[in-house]
Amino acid sequence: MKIEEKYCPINNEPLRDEEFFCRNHLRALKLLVTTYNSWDEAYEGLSWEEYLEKLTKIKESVGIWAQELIQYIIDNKINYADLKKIAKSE
Amino acid sequence: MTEKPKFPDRPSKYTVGIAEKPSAAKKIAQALDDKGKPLSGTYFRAPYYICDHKGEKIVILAALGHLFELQQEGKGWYYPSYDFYWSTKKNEREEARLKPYIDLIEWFVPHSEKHVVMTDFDVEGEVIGAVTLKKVGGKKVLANAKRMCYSALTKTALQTAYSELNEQINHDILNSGLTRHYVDWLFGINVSRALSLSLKNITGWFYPLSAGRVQAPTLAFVVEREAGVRSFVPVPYWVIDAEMSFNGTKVTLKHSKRRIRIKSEAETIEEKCNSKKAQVSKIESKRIEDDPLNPFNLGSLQSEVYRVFRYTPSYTLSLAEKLYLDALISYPRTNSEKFPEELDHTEIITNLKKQRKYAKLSSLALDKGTKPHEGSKTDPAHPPIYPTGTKPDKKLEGAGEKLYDLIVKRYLSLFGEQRIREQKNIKIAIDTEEFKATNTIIVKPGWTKIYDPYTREIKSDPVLNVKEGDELKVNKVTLSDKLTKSPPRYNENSLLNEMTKQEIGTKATRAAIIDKLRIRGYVEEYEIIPTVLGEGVISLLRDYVPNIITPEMTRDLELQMEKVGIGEEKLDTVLSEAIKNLQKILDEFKENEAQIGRELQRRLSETLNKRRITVGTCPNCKTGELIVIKSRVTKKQFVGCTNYQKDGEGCSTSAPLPARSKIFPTEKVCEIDGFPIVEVERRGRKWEMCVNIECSTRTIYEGKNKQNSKASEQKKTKKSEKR
Repeated sequence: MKIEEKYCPINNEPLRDEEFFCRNHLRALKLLVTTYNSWDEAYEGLSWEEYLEKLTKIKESVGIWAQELIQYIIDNKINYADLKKIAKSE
Repeated sequence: MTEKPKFPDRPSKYTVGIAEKPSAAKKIAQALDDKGKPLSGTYFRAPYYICDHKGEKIVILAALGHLFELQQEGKGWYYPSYDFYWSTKKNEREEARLKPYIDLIEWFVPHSEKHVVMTDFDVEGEVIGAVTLKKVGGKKVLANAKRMCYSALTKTALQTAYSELNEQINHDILNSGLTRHYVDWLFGINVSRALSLSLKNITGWFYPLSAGRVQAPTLAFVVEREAGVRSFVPVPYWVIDAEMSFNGTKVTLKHSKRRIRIKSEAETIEEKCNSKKAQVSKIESKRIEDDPLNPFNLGSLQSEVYRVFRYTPSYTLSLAEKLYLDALISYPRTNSEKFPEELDHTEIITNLKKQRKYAKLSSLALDKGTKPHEGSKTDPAHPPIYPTGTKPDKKLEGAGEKLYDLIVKRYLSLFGEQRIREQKNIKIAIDTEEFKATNTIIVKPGWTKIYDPYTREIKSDPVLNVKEGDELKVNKVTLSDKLTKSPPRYNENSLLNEMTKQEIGTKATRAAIIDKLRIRGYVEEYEIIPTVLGEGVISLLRDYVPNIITPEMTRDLELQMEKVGIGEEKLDTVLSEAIKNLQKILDEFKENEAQIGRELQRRLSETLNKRRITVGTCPNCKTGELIVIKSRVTKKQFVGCTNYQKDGEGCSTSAPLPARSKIFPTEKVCEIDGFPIVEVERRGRKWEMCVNIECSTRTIYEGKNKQNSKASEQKKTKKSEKR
């Protein structure tokens, strides 16, 4: 995957090393990925896209970094497999 | 021309006692003087007292807390800086304030026969007394100085303490205190300079930044918690409630599975329970006996006051110190929950009984005996916080009155009987699903009768008078979608508790550290939320000098200092170990100075921009903006024009704003002078005003305010007259 400059694509924070997101959004990503399992279990089958859609409907309960990240993922159509890789690589 | 005050006459033979504060000096002098009326005077503003005590002349002088502070040897603002000495304070105003106190001590100490340290009996008191005597009288005076140990400023306690003087000050406790001062100075000065100089050397900006041994890990807790809140993703769950009725009583019961994690499972339960009858399947009763709550130590007092009155821990401490100096309560900086055996509770309660407000409660407490309930924590220096029984000289008011009332009631409640409550756990089945209700009935209020209105309420479902086998009608079953909640942000109390749990700082300094985070601009002014700068400092320290933000290093140092206090470790050993750790940290700073400096610059400008409150366009120069400028230390604030610094033709428009208030722009403009109108929020009140101090509308507002205060004054006078 191409690394976009050396800045976080969400908030332009300078990045260190080979990171894709800044520390804050990476933290949100890890949580977003792990929480997906709980949502999937709760609804006994929920696609990643449905999961994100549900979260956008309950914005006030989602942390601000997670909200920004979800919007970025939706806008840029980044798939779950790639995100899982980013979350794991750090 | 006014004449310069002369030094007072010295008696031919006398003892010198040094108290920690003027009010304490006065209390001690009044207690020790045979007639209760010591000779008193002032040198400039510094008071002195000469008392006759059983044929002995005692001159009692006051310090003002620390009269001396640690200073760097030699000049220059650099790091590492490891050489220091005790000196008078370098701040001019402070030096002028303290000088008469030091002059008086220098006047009396060298000629006296005996020296007594009469400061508060704790680590800080030991340091204040010892450093003052050593600076003024030298090593010999300090070596022969006696120590007066007391926990309350009452006549009896002080007279007993003077008759049982310790032959020496406690050198282990002194060394423990000195180690803390030295280590904190070394870390505070060096790490703060390393941060500020990284910024200055790389960018040319000067902005005082600080990070200390306790401050840095505390800020790290706040930053970490905020990160948890901001990255939070909730998880769904479902709850099922069933509304039932029995003999006309309606109750809503919760399903025994409080959180159902799978939606379909919740839906099945809902379906199963609808339009079915419910039956009481089991009732379990238990009798619970609650002991009185433990006596207050500083930590539990601060927590309880926050719960009941929402006062911050630092405010509680300052109020408690005032009550202590008025001899109304015992020394508040204590960890103890155990009373010394010799404390005469009967006398205290009998004296409290003389205050009309506590007469009934005192009788109630006395009826139950004079053995108080105690906790398990101990403090070798002081007992738990208790009221001395002394009647206030004048009526207590406001926050002081509330705190005193809480302390008195907690103390009296220690003598109360157990509270007895009966808890009924009722299980009700609908088909195979189980619902629960908990009914609590207070059988005997016991100590809560004394502690009320401060007793924590016990949650209970509405009382259901049912027995096993009874049938209930199910009115409706509700399935609700829920989401887990993000971790709560810290408030002053929970942050203080976290510091206590992590064993960083001391009971006496924790609240001040939290205040410092605010003064330094690391957390928001009204909430414990990190600013961009606070986050930036922690992010940098985490990357380049992680040791300083982990509680481990600080905790370890605390442990070493405690060991010095009991003679198991030496001051020099702990100090050289601390310097070794510090050197590593400073080397890391030097190595990464460029990155740290640049990153700090970025974070700092973001913080300053974010904090900038623009209230509108300047009506004088028409191009600048009026912004709110606030002093970080005094909290005074004013509006100033952004064109102020423009070369040659700077705009000098400015006007003061109410201090310690929140200012919000309104986008409205004053019809009279064209200045912006702002909304001011202070102490729960909100109002709008023109920012121009000379505006007639503002005069009207201020006039109104004056009228209001005049009216409330008149109301107060009338009330007191009625009484």
